[in-house]
Amino acid sequence: MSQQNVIQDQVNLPLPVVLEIVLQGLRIRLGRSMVTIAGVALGITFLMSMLVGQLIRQGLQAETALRNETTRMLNVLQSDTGPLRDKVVAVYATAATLEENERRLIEAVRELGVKTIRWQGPAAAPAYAQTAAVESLGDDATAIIITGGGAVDERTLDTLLAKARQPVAARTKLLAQPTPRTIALGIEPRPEDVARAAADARRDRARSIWIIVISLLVTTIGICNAMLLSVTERFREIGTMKCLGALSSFIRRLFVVESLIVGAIGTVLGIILGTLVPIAVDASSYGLGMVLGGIRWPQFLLYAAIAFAAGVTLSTLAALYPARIASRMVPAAALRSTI
Amino acid sequence: MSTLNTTQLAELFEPPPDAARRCIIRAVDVRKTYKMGQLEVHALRGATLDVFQSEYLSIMGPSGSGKSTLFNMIGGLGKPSAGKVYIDQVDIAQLDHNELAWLRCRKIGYIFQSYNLIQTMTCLENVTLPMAFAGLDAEEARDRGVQLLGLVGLRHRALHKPAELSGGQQQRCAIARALANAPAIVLADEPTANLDQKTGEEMIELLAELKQRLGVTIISATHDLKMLQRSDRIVWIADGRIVKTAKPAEIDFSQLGAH
Repeated sequence: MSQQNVIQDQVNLPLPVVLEIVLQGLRIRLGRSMVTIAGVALGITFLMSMLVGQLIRQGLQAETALRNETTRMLNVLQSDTGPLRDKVVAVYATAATLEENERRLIEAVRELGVKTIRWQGPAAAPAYAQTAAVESLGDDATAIIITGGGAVDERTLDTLLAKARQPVAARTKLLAQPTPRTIALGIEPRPEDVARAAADARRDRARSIWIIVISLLVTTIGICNAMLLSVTERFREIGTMKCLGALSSFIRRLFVVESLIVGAIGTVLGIILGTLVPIAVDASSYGLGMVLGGIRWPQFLLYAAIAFAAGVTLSTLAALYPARIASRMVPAAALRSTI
Repeated sequence: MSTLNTTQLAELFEPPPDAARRCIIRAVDVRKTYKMGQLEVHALRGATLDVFQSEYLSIMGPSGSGKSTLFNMIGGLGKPSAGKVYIDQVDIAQLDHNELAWLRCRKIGYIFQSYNLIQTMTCLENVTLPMAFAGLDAEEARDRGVQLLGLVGLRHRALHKPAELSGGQQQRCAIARALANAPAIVLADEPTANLDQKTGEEMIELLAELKQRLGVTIISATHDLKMLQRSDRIVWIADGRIVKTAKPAEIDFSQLGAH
């Protein structure tokens, strides 16, 4: 018997066709798709709210620490100068920029109701400060605050303190070498405090990783279950497609792409929810400004990217087993008339 | 009653080759054994059968007779444990999954008892799906799909979902889908079982006309007496063997009805 007909390899369908079939299926089975999407969204919401909650907590802790630091520095300064109300305070900046604690300190000094704040140095002066030359900076000053870590030589110090009402020069930074004739406002954190903070952070991280892993596993199993249901429900449809010439790889792609789309939608929803909910909860007790101000946004973007990658990867992985079952279904399954 | 629009046929299908009775399916001593746990079930115990081009062949037999197995074997849905099945002169045992898919796509059209239209797609999309599998360009496929739906009298329903159609209309749509890639063989598995008598008769008429005009070979598994009477040849299968092959005229249908 001659082989007059040459059997060829069946073509694999381009992705747009797969996409069209999947989107149509999702639209028709909207209710069920929504449930699956909600499952993914919940898992990712959980992951994201853990991460964002941690960011907010870190932000709030940093803010509290800064406030405590400012109060402490102000107290140390006033213990040497006495009350600063209606007095003259001079700021001698040795660095080009002020650090956040220095800015806060000067702001706090102003809020005590000082008469004048005189300013000298490369750092930009705030609107309420009067710029003055080094020679007249210390005139009638009750306190001279030296910001930044730069050196101040003896002669400058003499000039500053020459006509001061009280000869108090205070450095905001704690320098390695001793600085005679100035008091230090900055302190070195105690090693046991640093160690305790690190241990707390480690414990926190271990606990949240465990909870996150469990929640993501639950999500993955949920998607897997939904896809398995979808496969059993559609066994005749799959068989029919195979009778019509569909390849196993086409069927497999059908389910993987479906899961990918469901996973991506659920993940985006989860990221939005998981960001908004912890912000809203903490804003109700700390105020929106303080919560938003404390979040490190580059870190937030990184977390959102991690959550997206996790959601999409896990939903694809969850579809692999159901897709394999579907692709192995025999075309004769289409003929079975009873379910 | 007929809805075949003959003017379109020349466009849609190549004219059948000369009237020589070409053997389109040849089954030689086909055996099929399934393993169910420890037990071996012999579904087919050596069936030999030639099916010719443009033939309307009915397979009948009680359930468990091996009827479905034979049907699957000659329809390219399974490979025999022993023996040979040639579809259009190609030994299907030699084909891999990929080539079998190609064969099912181009050479064979399937019609199912419960229509098996894909519920999420419109009639037209159902008809064009096998064309997409065959790599036909979407626009061409749409044109051909509309023509095929016109052929079975469903052009006005092209954009409806299967659920919006009656059983008869769904089966017509399924027939249009089976003809999508101009197959040489149409396999029909109890195509009238889910239809009322009148619609069933319409369907038999439609299939008979398709056979007549397009020269396709129709193989159906059926218990429908009307369908048996309309076929060219009836194959009776029992206990995994073909026990009788006869023309309808040679069979006393009044006796058969007693089964």
